[in-house]
Amino acid sequence: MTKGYVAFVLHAHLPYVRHPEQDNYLEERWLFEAISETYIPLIASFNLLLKENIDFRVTMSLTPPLLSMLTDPLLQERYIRYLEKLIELSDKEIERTKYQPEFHSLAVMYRNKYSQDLSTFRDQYSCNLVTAFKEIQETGKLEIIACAATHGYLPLMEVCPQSIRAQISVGVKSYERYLGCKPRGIWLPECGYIPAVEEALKEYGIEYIITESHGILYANPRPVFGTYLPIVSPNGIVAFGRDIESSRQVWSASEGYPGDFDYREFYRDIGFDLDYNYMKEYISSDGKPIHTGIKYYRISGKTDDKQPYNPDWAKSKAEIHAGNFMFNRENQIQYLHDKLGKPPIIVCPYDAELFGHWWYEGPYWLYSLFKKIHYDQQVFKLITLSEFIDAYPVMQVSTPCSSSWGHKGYNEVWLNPTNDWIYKHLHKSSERMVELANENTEAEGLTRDALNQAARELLLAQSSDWAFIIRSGTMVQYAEKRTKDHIGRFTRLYHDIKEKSIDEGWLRDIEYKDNIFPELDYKAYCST
Amino acid sequence: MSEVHTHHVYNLPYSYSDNRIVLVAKDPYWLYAYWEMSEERKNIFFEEFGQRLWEKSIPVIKVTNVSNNSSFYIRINDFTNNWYIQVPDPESLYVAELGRQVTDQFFIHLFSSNYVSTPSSSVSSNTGAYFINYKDLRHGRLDINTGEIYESYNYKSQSTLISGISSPELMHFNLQQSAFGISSAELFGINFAEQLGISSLNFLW
Repeated sequence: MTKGYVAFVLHAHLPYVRHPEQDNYLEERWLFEAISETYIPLIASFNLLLKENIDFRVTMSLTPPLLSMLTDPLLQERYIRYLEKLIELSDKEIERTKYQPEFHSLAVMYRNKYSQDLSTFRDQYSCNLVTAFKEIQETGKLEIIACAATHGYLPLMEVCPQSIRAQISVGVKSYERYLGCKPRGIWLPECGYIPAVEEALKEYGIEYIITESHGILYANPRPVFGTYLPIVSPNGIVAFGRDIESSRQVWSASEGYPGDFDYREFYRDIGFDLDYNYMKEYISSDGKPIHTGIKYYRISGKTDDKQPYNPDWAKSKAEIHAGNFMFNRENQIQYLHDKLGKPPIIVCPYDAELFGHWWYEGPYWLYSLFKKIHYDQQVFKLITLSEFIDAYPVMQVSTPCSSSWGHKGYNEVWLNPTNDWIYKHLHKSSERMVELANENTEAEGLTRDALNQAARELLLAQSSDWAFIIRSGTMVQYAEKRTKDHIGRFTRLYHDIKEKSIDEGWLRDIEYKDNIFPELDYKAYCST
Repeated sequence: MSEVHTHHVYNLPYSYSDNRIVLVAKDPYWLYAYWEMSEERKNIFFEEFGQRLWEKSIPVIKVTNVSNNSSFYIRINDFTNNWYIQVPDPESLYVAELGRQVTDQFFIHLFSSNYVSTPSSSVSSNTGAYFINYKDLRHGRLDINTGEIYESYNYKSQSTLISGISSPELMHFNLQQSAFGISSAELFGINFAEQLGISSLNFLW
């Protein structure tokens, strides 16, 4: 008998990075690395499970910037070039390592992997991986949920509710455009929740959100079942809370799985290890070493003396860890079922990119876990969040607590002395966008294009990624540049529109550079 | 300063020539305020009260907890335009006023901020459990304010439930001590963004 449910929620997001003005833009590699290490391996895992008739369920968000980049012809073409370079490099590596059997087999593994990626990407999916996710969603095993337009951090937009509304409306419309149906749930960027987001969620037909654990535990009134059952707010928005125990088991620095000594070591990459002259065509154009993706070592232990990676050991460790995760969920659910007198739901949200990109064996762990859950136990089932709502609609009425999943649980990651200077500009630009929209309700031609571009620039400036990177202390220059570019372009458009002196040449140039949301309608910002 | 732009390098406007103070909540115990004041507004003050009073007074932010009607003042200076404000009460509505303090009793108000709520930092004391059928709500058959009560609940068992950890590795895990709000990668304590720049992911400790 089923005693309860586990819901995996994978949040797939990358900031919108696309620079048609320059080749080999380093930050564009974020997308390419994530495609090869996370998205293609996840698609392959899900497809294999489908082929093997394994009854699995997973909920996933694909954010609008990611959907836009995955369907962008320029980035698709550049990803193919990225793969071709890697195939060339792994061929060179096969030759270089011919007398080092422990590395040679790995070089062959990488050559095969990148060749397979190329065939999956170009031949199987005609360069469009959104099709792959869409097809899996159609089987009912995967539920894709929406996200805010550019992953804007909503709790810090409260002073301009129109910006919250526009982030939600553009996000939902973007989902409909790429996935051809309506989303039932939404991933609030960074799990950033404040009660003020609910009005827009309701307006755009969103039924549920996911919050950090204390978003539910500190909800008002006090939720009887903690994070183990969803609550519904007086506005009718259902909120699921993140399970603390399962998050820790996967990700804890001390007891988490990905730090196991048999798993692939992220930090040892031939981009750093090999000679400049040999590597110069495959690293940054200014000669700086970069992660190529070809990594030959396992974590080995708390030592710099790393041992060669053994894929078979890593795979069997992933299977052991999948078994351990399943065993712990069985215990947890058995216990909770007895305590609650009803089936609990354990909600396990993770960044999708951690599977594969950071934890190389992560997609295989998921595959192996889902297979074990299907065959080896009867205590719980996997479920999507929509299925749970439909099966267990009786819920406690309660309003979640304002919260996020960032460090310390509230807004500090995105609001601290390193990045607080951006909010004056973001807030002012939001107000100006509302002013422009209200003053130009029937704009046509060039003015309409300028208004739409102003909305695009504002949305891009609002990505939570910039504040995050600025706080992180690395790649700060890029994030600051993006913030300044988008606010700068917005501000110039604002004045040009107000003064009725739009520079068409310049407008077309920034439309070409910042081309996200081709169907964007600036009226999303009208407040009247 | 005017709002300057060039074609390739954008400089953010130094000022928007506004007279305003904006308040946001950082967490249950901290607010952040930023403000701007134009020379015109300052001149109006000079006309009303004289330049001497401006010079003799101290710039302050008056912070009011509207929920319990209590206020305090923070001395700032004329050379800053933002401040982190420690506040005593989570789950309270706050407003800030920028002004000049002349004496302990005499505060001259310049302008007020928006209202902002601090989040809660603990389990709610409100134990009025009330359940509805979401399907009825969804299909418009139920008004949430007058809905049928499906279950009433005894909260006595709740403390054991929330800390109902059953996995052997975490048996000694104390919920109250756990740091909430750690996104997946943060638990590693690693600087992940460095190499990959997958920035939205909270890769930093």
